Amino acid sequence: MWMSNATTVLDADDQPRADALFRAQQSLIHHRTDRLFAALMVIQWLAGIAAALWISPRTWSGAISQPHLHVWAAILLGGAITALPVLLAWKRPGHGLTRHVIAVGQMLTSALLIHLTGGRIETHFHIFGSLAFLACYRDWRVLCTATIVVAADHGLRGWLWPESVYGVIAGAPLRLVEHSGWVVFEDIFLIVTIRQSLADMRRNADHQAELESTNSRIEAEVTRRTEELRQAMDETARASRQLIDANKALEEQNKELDQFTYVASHDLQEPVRKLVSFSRLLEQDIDGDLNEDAKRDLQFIVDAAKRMRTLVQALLELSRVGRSAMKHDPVDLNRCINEALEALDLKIHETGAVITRDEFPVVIGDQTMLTQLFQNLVSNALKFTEEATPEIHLTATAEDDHWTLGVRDNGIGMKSEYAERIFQPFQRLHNRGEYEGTGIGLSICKKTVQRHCGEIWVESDIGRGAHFRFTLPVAEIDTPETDRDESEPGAELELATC
Amino acid sequence: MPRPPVCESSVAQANDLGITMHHNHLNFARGRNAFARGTRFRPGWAMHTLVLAWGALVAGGMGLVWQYQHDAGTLHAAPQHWPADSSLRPSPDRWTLVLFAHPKCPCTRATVGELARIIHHGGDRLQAHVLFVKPRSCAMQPDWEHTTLWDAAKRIPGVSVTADVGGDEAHRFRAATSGLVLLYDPAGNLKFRGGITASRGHSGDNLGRTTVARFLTHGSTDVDRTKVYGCELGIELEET
Repeated sequence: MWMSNATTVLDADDQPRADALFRAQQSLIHHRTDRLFAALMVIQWLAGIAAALWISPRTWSGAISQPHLHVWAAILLGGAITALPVLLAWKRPGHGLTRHVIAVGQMLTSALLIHLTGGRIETHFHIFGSLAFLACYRDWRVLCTATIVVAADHGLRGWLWPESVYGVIAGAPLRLVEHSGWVVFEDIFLIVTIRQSLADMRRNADHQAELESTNSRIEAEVTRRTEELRQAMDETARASRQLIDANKALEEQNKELDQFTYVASHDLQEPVRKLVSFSRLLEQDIDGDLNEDAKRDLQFIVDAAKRMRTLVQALLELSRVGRSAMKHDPVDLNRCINEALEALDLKIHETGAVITRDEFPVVIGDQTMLTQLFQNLVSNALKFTEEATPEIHLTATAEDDHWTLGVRDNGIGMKSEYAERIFQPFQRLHNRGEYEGTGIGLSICKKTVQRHCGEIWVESDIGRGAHFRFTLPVAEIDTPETDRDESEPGAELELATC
Repeated sequence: MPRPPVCESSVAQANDLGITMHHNHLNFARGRNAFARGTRFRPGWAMHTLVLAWGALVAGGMGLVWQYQHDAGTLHAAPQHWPADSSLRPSPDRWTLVLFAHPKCPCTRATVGELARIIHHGGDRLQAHVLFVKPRSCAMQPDWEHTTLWDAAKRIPGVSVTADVGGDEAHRFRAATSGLVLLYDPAGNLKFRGGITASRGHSGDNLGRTTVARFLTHGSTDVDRTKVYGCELGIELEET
């Protein structure tokens, strides 16, 4: 085949597709060119009639005239030449026979037009133009058919009337070769061009087939990966739903646990209170009647009952912190700290503690709970000291979207591995004899900070004090457009809550 | 010859191939199929018969045209010496050429063109007369002979263009066909008679023009007559 010099190396699977694309493209070109020639030949027919009417409308004999034979030739012969090619182009476009009939008709039209124009040399260019048009088919065989028609016309007329074709009587065969040579000359270049065009079409078809194959592979890969992604998303959604369900279950359990803690601690208060009271009454009632061992045992009972009451109260307090309704008001932390220090005033004087503080901000929260928070932390700092005078500094640092607050002391400190443990209820690092307390204070602090959308942690080491730090969100204040007196009591602050 | 593809299959094939066929293309394909059904083409012989019949028809038509193109007019024996009663005077020192033309003959346009070429190459050795024969029946129509052909002849330098009302001069020189050229030597002897086109209304190299040119340059050739192509001048002459 002409187009066998395609450079693209295709897979065996792609070759049939490339062949089909190539044939389809060829068919499309043939159809399109057939239609073009159908229109062109009709136009040429009309042009031939116009030329005959313009150049040689009538033939004369003296004063008598009649329509010139050229007029009838243009109408009838031109119509006959045009009829079949147009009919085939209309009814059988793309067919090989149609192309060759069109080629024959086009070259006969050239001959007729040359005749109608009196053999004008300019009209002979119609032959060369027609060959170029026929090359639009990209079928070298069509050019051969057209060339044969030209050669046959020239050869036959040159044989019968050499003078009218070649202008000379002698040497007609050489003139035939000369005239045909020019047609062949054009044919050669057209055929080379057709071959290159077909090679381009072949390459395009190969590339198209390769592209389609690649696209198919990509689509298959995309489909596969999409399916995998869908499955992964389903799995994630399923896991998420399970997590949500688990969280709900945990929340339910926490609520039930809080409820249980509250109910238990609340209901235990009364029997514990009675136990303590009656232990004291029993101690008074039998005072002096018991021996020393019995007195000591009774004292153990009384102490245990008191400690139980203390623990129950602490547990009830922890439960209240987690359950009670919480306010979301602007709270000036400086005021909270003042109230906390007032509550601890006696202890501060007893220990001779030195307390310093930064300037604290206004935050959104519950003033009572925040006051209790600072009170617990300062109390903790006062408690865990040795011989040294407590030095406590209340810190406040502004971050991007929150405040980092804290209470730093110079106490005994702790190992860093206990940093999480101390916030759990009833977790103590020391014996009750060393440092008083229930082990519930820091748990209350943690619960308070969590309810204010913050975090709490401790930075400490043995003998180097501790720095309890917690975060609270920044209260965003929407500044009014008009200037407002800051001291105005009714000034409203729009504060963000977590 | 393979069976031509059927419409639906080719359309479906194109669709399968993912090629968008033009709407007109589809219409053509549908029309082709309808045509195939309507005419019940059996491509084996019916189509070839049609093509052969068409070929025969157009070949016959072309043959008729060719035949007409080379159908020469009547060539009578012209006076061997310049007629003494002619109103035209031959040149005593140059060759004298007389062209008889029908003013409305489309074929003679090529003859005038060939005459212009002769004048261009040998005008200094030639005195040329173009006589447009005007039938006596048209004598009352003043501009009947003033056609584009007349104007074309007038544009040739050194050529005398006159009307031969009633065809008297044509009768004297026995001219019956438009495009007839007579060439007399300076002594008034006829050297050539005939046409200077290769066929009817056909421009280009031809034996008549070559002969006249050769007479002007060499004084003699082997050819003394050629066929003449053109309309009849309407002059009644006895056959010679």
